[in-house]
Amino acid sequence: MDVNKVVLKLRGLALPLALLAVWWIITKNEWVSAVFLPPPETVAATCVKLLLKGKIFVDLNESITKVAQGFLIGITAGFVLGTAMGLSSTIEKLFGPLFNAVRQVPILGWIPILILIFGLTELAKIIFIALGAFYPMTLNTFDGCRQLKKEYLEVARVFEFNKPRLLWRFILPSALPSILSGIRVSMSEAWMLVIGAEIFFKTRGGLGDMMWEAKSKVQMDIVFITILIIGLIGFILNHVMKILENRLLRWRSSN
Amino acid sequence: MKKVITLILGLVLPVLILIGMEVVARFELTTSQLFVEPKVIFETLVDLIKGDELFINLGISTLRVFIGFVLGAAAGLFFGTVMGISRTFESYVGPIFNALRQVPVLAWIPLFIIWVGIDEGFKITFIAVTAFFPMALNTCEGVKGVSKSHLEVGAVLEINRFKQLSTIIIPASLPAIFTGLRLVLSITWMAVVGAELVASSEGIGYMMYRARQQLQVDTLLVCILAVGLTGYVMNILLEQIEHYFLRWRKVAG
Amino acid sequence: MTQRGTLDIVNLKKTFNVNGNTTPVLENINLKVKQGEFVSIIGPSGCGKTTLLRLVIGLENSYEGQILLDGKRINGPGLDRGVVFQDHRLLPWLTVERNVGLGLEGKRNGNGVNKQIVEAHLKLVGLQGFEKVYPAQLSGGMAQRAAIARALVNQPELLLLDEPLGALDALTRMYMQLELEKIWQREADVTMIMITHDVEEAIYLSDKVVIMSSRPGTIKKIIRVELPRPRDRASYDFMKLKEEILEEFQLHAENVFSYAI
Ligand SMILES: Nc1ncnc2c1ncn2[C@@H]1O[C@H](COP(=O)(O)OP(=O)(O)OP(=O)(O)O)[C@@H](O)[C@H]1O
Ligand SMILES: [Mg+2]
Repeated sequence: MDVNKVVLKLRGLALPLALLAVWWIITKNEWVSAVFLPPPETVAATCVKLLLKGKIFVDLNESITKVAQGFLIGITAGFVLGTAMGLSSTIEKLFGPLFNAVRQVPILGWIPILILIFGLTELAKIIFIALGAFYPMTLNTFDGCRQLKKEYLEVARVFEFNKPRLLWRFILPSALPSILSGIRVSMSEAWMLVIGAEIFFKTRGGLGDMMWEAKSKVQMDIVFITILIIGLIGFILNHVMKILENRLLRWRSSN
Repeated sequence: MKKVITLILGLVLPVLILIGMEVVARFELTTSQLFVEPKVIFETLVDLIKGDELFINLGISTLRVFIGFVLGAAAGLFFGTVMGISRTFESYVGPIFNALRQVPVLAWIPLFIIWVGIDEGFKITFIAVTAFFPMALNTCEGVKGVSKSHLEVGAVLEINRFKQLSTIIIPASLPAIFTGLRLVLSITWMAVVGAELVASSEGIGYMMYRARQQLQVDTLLVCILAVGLTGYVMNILLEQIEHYFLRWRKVAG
Repeated sequence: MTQRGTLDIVNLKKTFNVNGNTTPVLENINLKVKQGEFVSIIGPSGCGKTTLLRLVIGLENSYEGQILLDGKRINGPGLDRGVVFQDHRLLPWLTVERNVGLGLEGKRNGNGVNKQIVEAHLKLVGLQGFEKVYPAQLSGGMAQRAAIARALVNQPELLLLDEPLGALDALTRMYMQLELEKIWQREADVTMIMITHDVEEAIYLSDKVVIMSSRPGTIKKIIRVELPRPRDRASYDFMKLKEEILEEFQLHAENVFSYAI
């Protein structure tokens, strides 16, 4: 690794370290109440305690299970609708306007009605998450299905490809980049919404609830730690998807 | 002719849904309180349009979005531009920016409530923060994407830094900036609903919250319609602004 | 019974409809190509060469007159004709091997057989060892060779090439001309029709050079090339033939000029 890169990396550490120092000084001198800003060492100690106690893993597990279900339902539905609309202009004309109208409603706006219909249940939350994952997946898949250039369609005609093989060999592969980024966007959307669901549906269990409870008890250290964990998991999910994309789309790189 | 068919096809599903609801109502297929006839929804819609409750609440939410949007987007624009131009600045600030960006916006709510309380300050802060990150990111990428050759022209002409910014960098990254703005608009519109659902006594999100508590499904549906429509209209307005600006850019450069 | 790989074009006429106006693109085209012949089509840009080829491929369906392959009217694309497009049109998401095997996918030959066929054709175009490579990693000439292999894999009677070497640099192009001749000689009964802009290329490879003129596209002249192979580009006869063909374009240009006055 060359020296320049190391310097750049070290610079990246400067600001967080400075912030940490400021944080420490502020709390040391009690310029701000420890209720609002607990000292760094308290946060670290709480973090260790939480990890040792293990309840956090139960919450984590709960959130992840929920997000996985909602996400899978959402992207499956999005894939089906997106492909159908991409392949058939009749289906597009039939579903497109309604889809676009429904999409205008900010996702959090559906919460009250979901609560009314399904109550404060797991199902309500899963539907909510699925809906959030559904939009980007549908849009991206639809977009992807129209990526195939006319020139390649002619190749398919020259080789007398039938519809299923056209789909499998030509349309889906050319849609793949778009579909994969749809999956990635849906995933981070779903991850945000599971936290939202746990906060807004005000039910027990999950990281969002843990956070909310900490907020109610003004346990700032726990709020910090949950934010950290939630951010970290979001980052990991995104990163894993990117690696997957690079692997599956190897054909795009030229070297 | 083709357009008419497209229109008709688009209306098929909504009409089917309405007919379905009407059938359920006529034949009294359900006794659920939650079910409302299309007619009732329509009447509520008319009532709410005639009254001013809906518009006041929508207005309050729009104002909140506007203030948060302006603050957050301006900060993001500034921050993103500097980060895009200066590699030194980016090397110091980039990593922590990217780290904070990973946190899903809704996860900031508890922190802000503790720090800022649940008043107006909280809503504005929350909306501004949700606006800040995508705006900064898009601007930064737009600025970085300004092609080298453009910048070399500037260097050759020995235009000073500020001039370079206003005549080359900003105009060239305008498309990316507008992409950011559109994204930010829809995110902030979601954020205001969220903030009002959590803690508020006015605004469209609050109106929905109350309708839910009082089991007023019709009011709730009208609110959903209103929220969607308002978001849509704001989006169109922004698009018009974008057209205007990008056309200007084309003519001028 | 007509032989496999004979093409008969009789009184072909083709018009395009552009915003309500019908413009004739091809008129009065008569052409006979025998089995195993190598025919080049050469003519000014926009004279309808690609259109003519697309008609033979079957990608364009409305026309007047007759296009007969082995005595039968052409009706849409078919595996009896192989096509090499100017832009190679390899599918970027498939390896070279898969791309070349594209035409075999519908055939239930059993995997082993298909694999052997693909391998043999990769060898034919000199691409052994590149089976697992993606098109983005190939050079222009290699991609075009893979496209030729892909077109030949179904053992077509007729190979149709639209400026297959047009996008290559001069040296690679000369090399590819040699390769193309070798392929044509090895696949002795495959008829080949190639569009080109390069007079030398046409003479070097063809038994017949079809010269077209434009607006509407018609066949101006058909010149037989009877020089012994391999042909020597520097020989007197070669040069004379080249002059003769270039003359055709020269005259054409003068005609245009006199019209203008
Ligand atoms: N689909 C189409 N619709 C309308 N006009 C067309 C169409 N395809 C081709 N043409 C017209 O037909 C004429 C012949 O086109 P064609 O592509 O066959 O020319 P060409 O001889 O292959 O030219 P080049 O050497 O540049 O490739 C052109 O004037 C072109 O504009
Ligand atoms: Mg052409």
